[in-house]
Amino acid sequence: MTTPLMALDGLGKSYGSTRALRDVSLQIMAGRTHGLVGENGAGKSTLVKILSGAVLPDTGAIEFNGSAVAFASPTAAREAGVSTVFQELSSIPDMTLSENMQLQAPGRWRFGRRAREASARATAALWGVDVIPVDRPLGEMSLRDQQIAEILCAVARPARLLVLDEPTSALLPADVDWLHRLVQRFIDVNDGAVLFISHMFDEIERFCDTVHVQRNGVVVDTVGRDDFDRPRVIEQMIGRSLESAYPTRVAPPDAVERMLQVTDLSTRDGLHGVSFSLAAGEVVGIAGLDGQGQHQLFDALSGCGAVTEGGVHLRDTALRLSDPRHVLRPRRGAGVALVPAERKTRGAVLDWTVRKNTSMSVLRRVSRHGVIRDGAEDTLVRKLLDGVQVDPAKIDDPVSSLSGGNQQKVVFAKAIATDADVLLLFDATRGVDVGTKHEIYRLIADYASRGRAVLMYSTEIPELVNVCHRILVCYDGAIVAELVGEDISEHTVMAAAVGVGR
Amino acid sequence: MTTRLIHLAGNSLTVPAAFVLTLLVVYVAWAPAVVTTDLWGFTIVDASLALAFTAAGLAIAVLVGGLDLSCAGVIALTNATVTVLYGPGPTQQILSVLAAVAIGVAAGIVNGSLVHYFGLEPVVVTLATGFVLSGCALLVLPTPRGVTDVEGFSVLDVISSSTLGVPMGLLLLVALVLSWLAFRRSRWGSRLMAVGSDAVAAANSGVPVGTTRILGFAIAGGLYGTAGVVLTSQISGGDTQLGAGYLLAAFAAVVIGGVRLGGGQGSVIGAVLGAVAVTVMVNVVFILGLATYWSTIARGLILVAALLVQALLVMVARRAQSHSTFVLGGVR
Repeated sequence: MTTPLMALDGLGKSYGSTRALRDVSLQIMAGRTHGLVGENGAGKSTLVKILSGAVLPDTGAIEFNGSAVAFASPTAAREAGVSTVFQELSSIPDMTLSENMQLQAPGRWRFGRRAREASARATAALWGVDVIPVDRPLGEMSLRDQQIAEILCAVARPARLLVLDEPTSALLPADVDWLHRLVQRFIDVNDGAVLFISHMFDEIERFCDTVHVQRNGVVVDTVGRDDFDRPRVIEQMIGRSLESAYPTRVAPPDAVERMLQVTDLSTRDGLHGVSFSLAAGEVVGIAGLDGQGQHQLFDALSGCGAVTEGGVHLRDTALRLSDPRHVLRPRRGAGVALVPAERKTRGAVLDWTVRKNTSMSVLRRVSRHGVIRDGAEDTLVRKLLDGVQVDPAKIDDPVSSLSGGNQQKVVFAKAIATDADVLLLFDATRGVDVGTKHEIYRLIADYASRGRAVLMYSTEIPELVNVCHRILVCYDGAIVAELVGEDISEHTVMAAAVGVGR
Repeated sequence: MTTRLIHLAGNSLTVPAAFVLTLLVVYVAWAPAVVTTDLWGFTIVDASLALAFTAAGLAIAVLVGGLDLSCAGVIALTNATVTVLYGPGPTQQILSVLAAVAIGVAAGIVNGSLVHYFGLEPVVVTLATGFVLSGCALLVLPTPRGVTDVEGFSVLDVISSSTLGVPMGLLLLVALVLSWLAFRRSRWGSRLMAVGSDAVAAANSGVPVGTTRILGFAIAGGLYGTAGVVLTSQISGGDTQLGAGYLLAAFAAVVIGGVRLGGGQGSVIGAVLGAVAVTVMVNVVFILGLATYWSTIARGLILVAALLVQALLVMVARRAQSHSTFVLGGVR
């Protein structure tokens, strides 16, 4: 048997009283792609941080390229030959692709802009990116473009091991093919290996030769591609069996009470003439490829868009779409609440505790004469946390200390707390593990069944197909198809989303 | 043509440059006499020289992600130090100037280290070191006095001199701008911007964040020290009260110069233009013959106007931006 490119032996890491990693042992072979799956909070990100030199392990040993190593800094890991694409984007937002590439690469320093950009173009072309915007700071680009830029930066420098931490969560479905070829090329050119982390089993099956399953900071199983059995892996990930990825759909309501009426909505940034309605008890999905107006629609509905025409009625009240506060609460106990995609920047105040974040939008309900009553707040927050299944012991921990999935649950709890008539979910399950997703689907169904309406957008079409009563498909800033009941399938949604039939 | 205009709108130097030009036009229109005299070099270049160095230093501190309030203290202390140490003989003169720069660099290293190693807020740290330095200045020079007169060659005189009609101050400014251009394109310059833009991302990109931050504060301190030397040369003496005036003026210069106070965006050239703008603004308000309270109000209004134009231009540039995006092909 050949020696592995990297061997991890008994890695452990604790943050305070939390043991993020207990005992991680695995071997990565040159020439292969290794997958790593596990729930949010299983310790995958901690492992990535150790491999990339961002943190040092408390216990255990790493052997890389035949010698024992301990990466004291990201620079050390990089120089040893480990290149990492982090889940949280980590290129410099104010710099262009070529500047970022140059910053990260060890090579000769190019002082001229032209030379630098030419070299960036050449590298990009080599890795299958034909057209790149060279003069724009990455921070102004879409998440997808930032992710591509980050991947390019990672492969631009010499490395033996490429670590990809959920690289596809921001990419389009079509980009996955590109990534697949890039991964293969990396392995061929560098005689290297790739560690690929994803929640998408389709990708894991397609990319990986070997899959490691991690739970609670331990690698519980390692299987070859041919032995990859989804139900069994899910069971290993969450430690119990899950009958189905999606809960049973609750039948849509019979008596249709109109909850939200959107009429001829147009915005300055590309939405034109969108009309639809939501009934009480309904879960309606918005589908569409990246950039077909779903962003603008959700912005407009949450009072943050540049609306030029049209209007939205919540029951009989016309919403003032230029005023997010009015949209959230046009009357007592009613309104439209949003769970945004960027939980880090828009959903939660990361430094605040779980308690403060959850009660933030409903302070009126827990205060008397403008003074917050701690007891009432405590009761409310605990009830909400119980509903979204977040450990109440974490109530006074900062949100930033929670795992990604739990952060998303807190954002969800905050939205549910408003008791709004309409809940808007913008890609609320992105980067969330299977177990948590299942929870969120249950919460959505639950919320709707209490006589509310839910409008959700998701990049994952299967999710929409399995959760929604009705699906509206966006294309070029307008709604081009409405699918109900039997008509809903991945195929029909996709066909409408790519504009087939027009 | 349109794209060129948009590029111009997106450039952070457009506003400070336009601002300086406008003020100069107003200035010359009101007082054409200044153009013909030696006063020209003095009123524009020399009068803004010390502020330009201070603003350049502050810009670097701000770019690396730290609001630096210590500049007033550094200027006061270095002004006092040069005044006391200065004397006959080029060696002593040069040593006193170097001492001033060294004091600034040392103060910057202390600031940067406190910020980085102990995670303290830059504003608080530099406020504190600023106090300490101002106090030290009084220790060194309790009462204002002149620099010891020097027979023959004097370094301080050279700074305020002009050769072939070109003021030395202008050469110093050009040198400052050129150094910045070179630094900005260097590895460390790039790291400086990266840390100010996003420190965590910079660390993940392999940037030594601590060293970079300390370097930034140190360069800033060195430039404040240089400003102290320039000030000493121009007033031929030391007065510990003068440093305080530079703090807010430098902030105004940096802001007008298009440097983002959050860090990571802007340039020293902008800050230098901003310093010139602030100086000319004071002169313009003066020659307009406004009463003191009007001149103070006018200064505030002009500042807000500069910021508004900047914000508008950014909006224009944003809106006009092409939505180019990555196009993927095959990997060979």
